[in-house]
Amino acid sequence: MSDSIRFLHSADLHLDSLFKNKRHLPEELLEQLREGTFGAFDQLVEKAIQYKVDFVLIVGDLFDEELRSLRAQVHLRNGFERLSRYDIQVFVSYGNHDYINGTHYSIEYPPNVHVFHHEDVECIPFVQDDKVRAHIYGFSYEKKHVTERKVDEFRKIEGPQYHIAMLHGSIVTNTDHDVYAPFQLNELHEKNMDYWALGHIHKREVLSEDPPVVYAGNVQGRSRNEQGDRGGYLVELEEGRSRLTFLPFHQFTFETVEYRVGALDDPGDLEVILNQAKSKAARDKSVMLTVEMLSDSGVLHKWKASGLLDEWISIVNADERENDNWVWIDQVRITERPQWDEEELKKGHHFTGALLKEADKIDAETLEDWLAPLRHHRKLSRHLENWTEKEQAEILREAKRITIDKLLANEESL
Amino acid sequence: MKIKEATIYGFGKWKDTSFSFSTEGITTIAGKNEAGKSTLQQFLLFMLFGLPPKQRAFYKPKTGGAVGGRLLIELPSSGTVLLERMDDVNNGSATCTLENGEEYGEAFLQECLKGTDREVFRSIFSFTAEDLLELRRLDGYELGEVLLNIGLTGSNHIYETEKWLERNANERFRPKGRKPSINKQLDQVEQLAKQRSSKEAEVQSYETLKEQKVVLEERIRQSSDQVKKLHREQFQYEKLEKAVPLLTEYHQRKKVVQDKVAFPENGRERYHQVKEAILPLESEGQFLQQSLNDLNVQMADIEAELADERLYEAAQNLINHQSDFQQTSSELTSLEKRMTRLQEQLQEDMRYMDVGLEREELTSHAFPFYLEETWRALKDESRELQAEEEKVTEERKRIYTEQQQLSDEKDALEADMISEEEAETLARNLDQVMTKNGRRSKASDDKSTHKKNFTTAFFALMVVGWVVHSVLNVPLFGWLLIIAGLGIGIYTVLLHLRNRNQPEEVPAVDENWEEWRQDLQRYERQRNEKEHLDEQIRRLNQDELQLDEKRRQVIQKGHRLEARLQEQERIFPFLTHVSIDHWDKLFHLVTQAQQKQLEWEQLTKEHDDKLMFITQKKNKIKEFYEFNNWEVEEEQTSKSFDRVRKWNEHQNELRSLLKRLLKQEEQERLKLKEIRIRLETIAKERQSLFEKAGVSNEEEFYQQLAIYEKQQTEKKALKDVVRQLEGILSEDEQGLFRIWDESIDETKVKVSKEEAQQSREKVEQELLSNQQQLADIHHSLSKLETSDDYSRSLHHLQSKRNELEEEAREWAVYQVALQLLHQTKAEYKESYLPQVMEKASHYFARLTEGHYNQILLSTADDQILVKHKDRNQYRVNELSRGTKDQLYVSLRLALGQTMGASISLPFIIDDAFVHFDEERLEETFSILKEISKDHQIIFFTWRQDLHQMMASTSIQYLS
Repeated sequence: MSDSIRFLHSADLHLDSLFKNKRHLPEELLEQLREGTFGAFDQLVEKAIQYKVDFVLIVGDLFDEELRSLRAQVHLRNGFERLSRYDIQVFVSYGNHDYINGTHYSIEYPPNVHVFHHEDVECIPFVQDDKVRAHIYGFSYEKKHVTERKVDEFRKIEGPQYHIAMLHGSIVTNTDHDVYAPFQLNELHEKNMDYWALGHIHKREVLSEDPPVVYAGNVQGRSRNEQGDRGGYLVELEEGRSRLTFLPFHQFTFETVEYRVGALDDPGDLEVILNQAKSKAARDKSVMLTVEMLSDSGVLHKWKASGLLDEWISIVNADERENDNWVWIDQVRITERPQWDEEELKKGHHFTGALLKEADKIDAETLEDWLAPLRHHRKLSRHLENWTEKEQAEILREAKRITIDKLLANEESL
Repeated sequence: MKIKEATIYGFGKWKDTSFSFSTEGITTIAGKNEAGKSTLQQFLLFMLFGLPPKQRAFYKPKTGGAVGGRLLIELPSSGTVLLERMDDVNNGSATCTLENGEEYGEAFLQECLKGTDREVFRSIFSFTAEDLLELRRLDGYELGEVLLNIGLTGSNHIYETEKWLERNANERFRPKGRKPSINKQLDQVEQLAKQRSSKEAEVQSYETLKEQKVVLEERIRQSSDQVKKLHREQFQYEKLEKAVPLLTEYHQRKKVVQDKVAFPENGRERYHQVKEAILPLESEGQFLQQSLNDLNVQMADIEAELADERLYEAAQNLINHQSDFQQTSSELTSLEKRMTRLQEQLQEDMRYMDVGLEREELTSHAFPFYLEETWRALKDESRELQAEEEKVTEERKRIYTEQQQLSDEKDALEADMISEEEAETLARNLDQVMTKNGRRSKASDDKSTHKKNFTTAFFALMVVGWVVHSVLNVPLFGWLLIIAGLGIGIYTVLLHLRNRNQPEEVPAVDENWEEWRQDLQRYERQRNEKEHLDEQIRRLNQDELQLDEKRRQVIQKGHRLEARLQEQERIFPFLTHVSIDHWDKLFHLVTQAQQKQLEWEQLTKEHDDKLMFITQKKNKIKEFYEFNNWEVEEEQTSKSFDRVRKWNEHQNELRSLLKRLLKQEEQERLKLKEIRIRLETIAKERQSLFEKAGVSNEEEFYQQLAIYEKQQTEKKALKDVVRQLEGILSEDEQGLFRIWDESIDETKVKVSKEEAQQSREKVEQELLSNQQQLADIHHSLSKLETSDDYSRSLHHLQSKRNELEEEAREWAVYQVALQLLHQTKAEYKESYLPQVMEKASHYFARLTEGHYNQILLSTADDQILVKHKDRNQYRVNELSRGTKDQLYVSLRLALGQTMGASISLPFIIDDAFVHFDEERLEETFSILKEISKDHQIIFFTWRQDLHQMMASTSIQYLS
């Protein structure tokens, strides 16, 4: 037996987590989406077996919500049992999405699974052939928010050749996400570990090559915010050298295609445009597609508003149900150069200028008032998410656009 | 801004045509329909605001050529500017060339227009007859609103937009509605949420089920334990039931057995053994006693018959000596015979010697062993002495003869010899001749001398040796000398042999020398011979002296011998009768005779002793006979001995018998004693048995035994019962039911058994039901574990929610847009409407010749109202068509005035007043004239005559 050690680094399985779709999905497709995270995990298991890894690391957020779905837990256990049959050990830590004190079902994992049960950093030895080959360090979230600098608690315990740390948290410089267990890269370097297996950030990233400090990313994209291939890293460590290979686990990906539209006369042209946009997306995998349409024509918004665009999307999507590798257009976003110049309009005393100037004065509270009928609707409010400021601004911008467009619509529309 | 000139390169029907416009007052452009009025209007708009490519293409001249043209405009800030647009240049965008030649683009133009775009321009600075036609289509309520909007913006787009937004918002959502899409979707989502909740509840039951499972498993375990226990219990009762008869027997027997009967362990056997042991011992004891008594009688008889000890010893003694006696008798006879023969031999010997010795004398001399030697030595010595004397005499004779002879020889030699002086002379001569050879010859001489000396020694030694050996009778020394002599002899011979190997070197010199030498040699030889003779003579003389000495010694020896002989004769006088030569022979004879004499004396003594012994014995027999009162008769001694012997034998027999009897008695006594001891032990044991049985004699013992044995039988029977019971009931069961302590009631046992059975069946029933329940739970659990229902319901819900979210967002956009519009309108109304209303009221009053003097806004519903001079207020829809037109025109003009206050753009009016009567027209034109002070006015009309009425500054006719 060589001295090298081989493992799969994965994180953020978010098993059974929900997806973000923009339009109505047919039953079959919804089912495929639903199976997505499970399929990705199954893929992880298969790859672990295929590459004969020594062990698998899962760095937090195995489940999506505090209420771990029973299905997810059972599926996970079955996967672990399969790994167990191939003598592959699994090291699991829980993160902010599946913190230990959250509700969960009493499913027991097979003995090849080593779980970090505490919020204090522990060391679990990786034993193979009665020999301690590596020390795995890690901790689990006991509560939802861990804002302490857990990195300080990592202490290398000498002994085996390899020292691998599992950390579910965010680098201090990352401001896009909530800050959990923050760390700085140099702090990790100071710990002299052979590998830092990170979790929490869903976009995979190699923060440092030597030693490898790596976000594996999540295993399955769930919205257009998690685009591209998703999976984990196959890591081989040997005498201070490391080899990282990204292995995709995803069952389908979220992709965005930009499509510039020329002159448009007939809404029927949309079919061609949408099909061309689809063909720009890869066909070797299933894709939830967002088409960014860029146009000067000025009709797209009109067609969208009139529902023509939606109809054509449905028609184009209808063909996809049969395919193994499907491309489903979930959304078409229109970026159309307006026929008017907002700044110029504002300069005049006329109504449009006044409206634009008025729009600038709208504050969140006013907006809230305007949207109150829906937002405060007893039943609806239960099912709708709160809109972020950004989303609200987008709504306002959109509102301005359609109003001005309508106001300025030329004779033809009258 | 004022348009001075327009040149069309190509636009619709127009191609390479120029128009000039008056910068002051009104420019009228008259032409029939299809004369190109509208196209010219569109051209002006195109030049100012541009057109999208598609529309540009629409205006492409049918006769060919590109769309394009130029305007010469006058700007208050920049003076005259040339504005040019070409369809194919810069995508139809504007180029502005200033008077100073500077060129600017579209942005410059937009700056000049101050944000006025085509639409705003159209709504404020341009109105046409069509607008009025449009107005007529509207119904009353709408009209009020539209007119308000026209008052606000110059067009009814706000109204249109508002309606459109409202419709869109409402189509999507109404808080209380059912039809709008969001409301519909909400129902679906609610439905799905409900489904999800129920599925969630199902899944949440998982934990409950698991808990139930644990509880049930525990319950099942307990139940099955209990079933086992009850089963066992039931079985135990069944066994107990079987055992009841035995138990009854047990307790009956136990009562009997309970009384304690004192009896030793194995009493019967042990007593029997005791008895069996006693009987033979007692009979043996008796027998022994009898035998002892008999023995004692027998022994007394024998003791009476036994002789006295002394007598017995005497007899013994006699018998012991009988053989000695007989032997001694026969020896005596033979002794006497030998003595007689010896005496005869002695007498013969004495006679043979005849030296006058008597027999008795023989023993008085002692003849020691060396005596014979001494006598023989003396005989040899006397003979030797004789021989020596003869030898000396012989020697003397020889010496004398030799002396005579030698002296003769010497004399002869001396006569023949030269003298000594002559010899010396010769020698000197020779020396002179031969000096060299002298030394060698001398050496040779030395050697030969040497040899001669050895030869002499050889012979001397041989002679001395022999003499010593033979004469002096000292053989060893003699032989040594001879050997030495021989050694020397051999050496001499060897020496001689060597000398012979050396040749003589005698060189002959001359005759003289030879002669001298021979003479000298002869002399030498003769001298040597003479010396030799002298020597012989001298030696003979010495021999003679020695011989004399010897003769003296022999004589002395003879004397000493004589003395010794005499000494012998003195001791043994009979020697005088015999010559010395026979002494040694005599010695033998005498000693033989003496021996015989001694033997005879010995035999005599022996004879006497034996004779005394026999006599003694005979006396003893006699004594014994007398003591026994036997008749002493001179019978043969042997017979006497026999009689004694017989007696003695008899006595011996008695003695041995007695001894045997004594021994027997001793043994029997020991046996008897042993038997008594054993009997005592057995008696003790019997006593102990009696004590244990609590009795004092055998009779009682047997009675007790009978009682005891009866009880034992009971006990055995009890034991059998116990054994049987133990076979049926286990140890635990025995303890459980306390069977040994009390008797068992069969009925109770039966009841208990039934109870146990019933309980068991009940528990079994429970167990079965629990197992069923557990199986159900297992089923449910595994169903839940593998079920996707909940997950699916969640995802369904989420998907629908996402859709709902999208719809909600769309609604939000419309809603915000609508609200924004409302808000802007309200704002706008406040800031611009009063001015417009005032101006419009003024124009409206003029156009209606003072019939209506004020335009108002209804506070209730934002409707335009007009006030008649009779102070009545009318809604718009209550007005006549003409008045409505006048109201519209008033509002448009007022708006244009108000809005155009900040930017002076040309008014473009297209037949807007076509339906006005003369008065109204006149009034309108007068108003326009007023306005034209601030704004350039371009008036299009199909009526050729109008321009006179309005007294326009310039007029162009289109054909």
